Amino acid sequence: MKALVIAAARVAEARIRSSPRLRKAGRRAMALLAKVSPEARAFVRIRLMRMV
Amino acid sequence: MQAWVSVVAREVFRRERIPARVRWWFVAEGMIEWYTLLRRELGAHLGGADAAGRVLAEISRPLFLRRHAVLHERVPSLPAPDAGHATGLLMGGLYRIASAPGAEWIFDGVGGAPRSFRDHVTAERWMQPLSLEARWEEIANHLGELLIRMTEDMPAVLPRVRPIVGDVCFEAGVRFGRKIKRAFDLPATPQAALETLRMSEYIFRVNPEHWGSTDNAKKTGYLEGTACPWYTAPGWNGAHCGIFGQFQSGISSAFGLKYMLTTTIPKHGGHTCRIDVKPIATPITLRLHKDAAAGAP
Repeated sequence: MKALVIAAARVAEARIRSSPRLRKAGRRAMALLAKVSPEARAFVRIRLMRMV
Repeated sequence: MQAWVSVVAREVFRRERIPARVRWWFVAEGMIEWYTLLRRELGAHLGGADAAGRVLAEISRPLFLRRHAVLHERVPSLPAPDAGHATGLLMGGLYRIASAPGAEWIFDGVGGAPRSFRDHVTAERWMQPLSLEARWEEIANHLGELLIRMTEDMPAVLPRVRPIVGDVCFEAGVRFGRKIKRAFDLPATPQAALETLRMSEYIFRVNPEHWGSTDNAKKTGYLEGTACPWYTAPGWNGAHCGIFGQFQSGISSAFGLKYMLTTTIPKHGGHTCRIDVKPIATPITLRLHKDAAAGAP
């Protein structure tokens, strides 16, 4: 059962991440969040920070 | 004043208290980003990113099959390694490929990553006996083993692979060092440099036990630890330590420091590695003799 739920979430995540419209909306949301407060900006910086 | 989110994130890294689940996410994301970066950078030498991707997927086949065999030995309920199907599903699941659409090419040499709902169910069922800690440890090993495969298998298509990958590592280290320095508002001190070095080491399980010291007045410091998880992998040698050392060298340079790989297990034996940092020497300003400047003989 657990595998079925996780697999469904994975498929949904892959679809969402593959959608250019949703990715753009996500980027806009992050940009808005960054304007809200220093904490939100810090979160965005840390989250968007890539390993390389 | 620093935002509390930054302070908490930095402390969690510094104290190495990231939960196993998040460490697994980070290491999987880190490996996918490393593959993506290599595909882009090596593309300039291999006739484009697609061609580089094909080469990387091809050389990763023995890596994934070997790691799958190691896991299968530990967890006999897993299917046997199989480049046609099982290995791609298992490894794609462990890399959390659903979080990185567009990176499925990494598993093309082993039958492809999970795509359909059924594939994901299969991969999840196989992964269930593996603890989150075991998943983190497994993926961390891939970083070193991929470098072994690159130095062993790529010279046929890219003879200068070692210096090229060394340069890619250095540039990645510079970017990472600058980003961390800016995100956490870190000063240009050896202590901050070593803290940043430890962030990437921690995620990839390098020097799991470690100790060190810094002298901010002299701008020196050292970090010693119990090596990389992959140093016992077949084919690992001192040259690989030098190539990966370039990533740390890049981080150190972002803090105005020179990095030296002082002790490595392949070269010096023992069970520990050590790196030292010291200030980058200020270039000596050459002044022309006043006569020369005046054009006199």
